[in-house]
Amino acid sequence: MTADRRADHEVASAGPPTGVDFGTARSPRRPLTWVTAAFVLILAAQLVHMLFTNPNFEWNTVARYMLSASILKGVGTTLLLTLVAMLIGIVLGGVLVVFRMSENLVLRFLASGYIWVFRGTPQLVQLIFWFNVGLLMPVIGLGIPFGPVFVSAEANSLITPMLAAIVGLGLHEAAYQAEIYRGGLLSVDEGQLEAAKALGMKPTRMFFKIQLPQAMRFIVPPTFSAIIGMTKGTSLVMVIGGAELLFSVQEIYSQTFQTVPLLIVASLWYLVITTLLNGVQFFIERHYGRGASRGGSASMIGRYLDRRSGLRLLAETRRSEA
Amino acid sequence: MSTPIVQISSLRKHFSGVEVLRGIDLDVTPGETVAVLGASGSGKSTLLRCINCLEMPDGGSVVLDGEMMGHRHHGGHLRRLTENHIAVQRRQVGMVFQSFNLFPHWTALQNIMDGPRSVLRLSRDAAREKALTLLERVGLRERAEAYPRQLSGGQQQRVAIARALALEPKVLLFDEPTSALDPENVGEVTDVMKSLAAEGATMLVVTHELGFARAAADRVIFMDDGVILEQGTPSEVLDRAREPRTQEFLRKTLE
Ligand SMILES: Nc1ncnc2c1ncn2[C@@H]1O[C@H](COP(=O)(O)OP(=O)(O)OP(=O)(O)O)[C@@H](O)[C@H]1O
Ligand SMILES: [Mg+2]
Repeated sequence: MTADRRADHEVASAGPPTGVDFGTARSPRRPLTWVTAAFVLILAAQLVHMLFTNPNFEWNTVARYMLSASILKGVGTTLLLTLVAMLIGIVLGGVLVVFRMSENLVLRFLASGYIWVFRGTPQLVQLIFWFNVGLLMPVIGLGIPFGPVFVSAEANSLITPMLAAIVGLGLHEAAYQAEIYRGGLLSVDEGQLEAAKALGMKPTRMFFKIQLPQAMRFIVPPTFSAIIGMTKGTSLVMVIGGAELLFSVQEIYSQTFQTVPLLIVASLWYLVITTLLNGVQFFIERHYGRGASRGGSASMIGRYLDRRSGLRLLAETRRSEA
Repeated sequence: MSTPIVQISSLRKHFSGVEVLRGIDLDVTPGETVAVLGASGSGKSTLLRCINCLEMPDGGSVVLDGEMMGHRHHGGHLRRLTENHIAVQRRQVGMVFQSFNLFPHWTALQNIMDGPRSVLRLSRDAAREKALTLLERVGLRERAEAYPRQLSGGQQQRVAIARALALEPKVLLFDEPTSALDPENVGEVTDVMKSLAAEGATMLVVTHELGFARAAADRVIFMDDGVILEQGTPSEVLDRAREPRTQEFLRKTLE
């Protein structure tokens, strides 16, 4: 083996001059990049100029409200709604996909029907529906079907805006999440499952040790898109009176008429949350990328860290070769 | 002749109306290496996959060391076993695939250790020791921590062989183990297989490597259109084939 490799090396070194270190090579010339950069720079300069000179932005108002109590409360509600609804979506979506892909015809039918309805109607309609479910069922109770009821309550007192929001967002999300899981599970190579079977792995273990970990690479990115979508989607809850971020902002500007600065406050907060989520996504993707060939990272920090670890690896190899 | 370890009788299998196996009878004795030849589509892979129930045959039976695979008699009826039970049966059979199918999220060592850990219930250290011994045997001890994508095709296939050996199966199935390899990597894999054959492993090998069949097989089988058309010692089949179909296949393969 070693002998072969040495032979290869000699053949290779017979060609180009020896001692070339590609680590010091410059990037190829890219004149177009410079042209675009100049163009974008001019536009950016104009934007920044406007941001600072146009008094209608009212940056001092933005600064004043950014950390005010009512806004922070709205941010908290948005985060809570996102978290709880997403948890429902992630867990119920898992149940749905197991049903959807099971051998049991009845379960398969149930899951398909659920996905059909909850994916096929607007989220806003579903939210308003759950808030008004009392019109359909004035009293909600828990008991045996067609038999005695153990606990019951008036729907109108039970269904608060928050509860309707959580149920509405969560059930809708579950339908999407189930499809994300299904796509991920189906993208695992059939040969992997055959190898696991041939090794005598039982179905449950095969699912958790072979199929799911490999599916995660396909599940994580769309799930993060869904979380980010959910963060922004919670703003719909405003229409049923849920006091989330956009609701809090609107409550203020409807009295002070400082519409633009307060919408900026809301946007900045949404950006803060989604940026943090991007960071979390990078680390989770890196975890599930073990053993995978170098795949491009979706986020900018991701690419930066990829590049750094690539450079470090290069330096280490050079050191060990020296 | 000792009692067969694998007994295949009148095995039949069809896919959407097309008969792929049309009554296969084959007994394999312990320690025997059987090379399976045949044109594309003649049913070689299907035969191997019926042995470990990756495909369920339509009729006939596969008996491994006295136990019927996939079904059992139950009060006068034949009842199909559950997936969990079939999984237990499959542990008696090792399989090596054309496309390696190593688990990409596990290192070479983890790929091999998993069976001994979860099935044989070995301690982590004992399983690791066993896996390293197997890696040594296929000449890859120093690549234990490599992920499959960091290995060449030949190296991956050798790891896959070590993985198949880890549960000490009674029979090993190889489905064209060298067909996906560059020509220069074929030798390293067939060398490992030859040494297994010499050490007395029971093997069924679907292959287009006539050299391997000649050197390592005790028996060569030629399959054609779902039946075993001809079988015998390597020289009987490879040098003095009686059937015109076999002769034609050999001529085409040698070209
Ligand atoms: N899962 C399947 N569904 C439908 N048809 C199948 C399936 N598996 C195999 N077949 C068909 O059965 C026939 C035999 O297939 P098999 O894979 O056993 O052939 P083979 O001898 O291994 O061929 P090759 O040398 O190309 O691997 C082929 O015509 C194939 O198309
Ligand atoms: Mg085949």
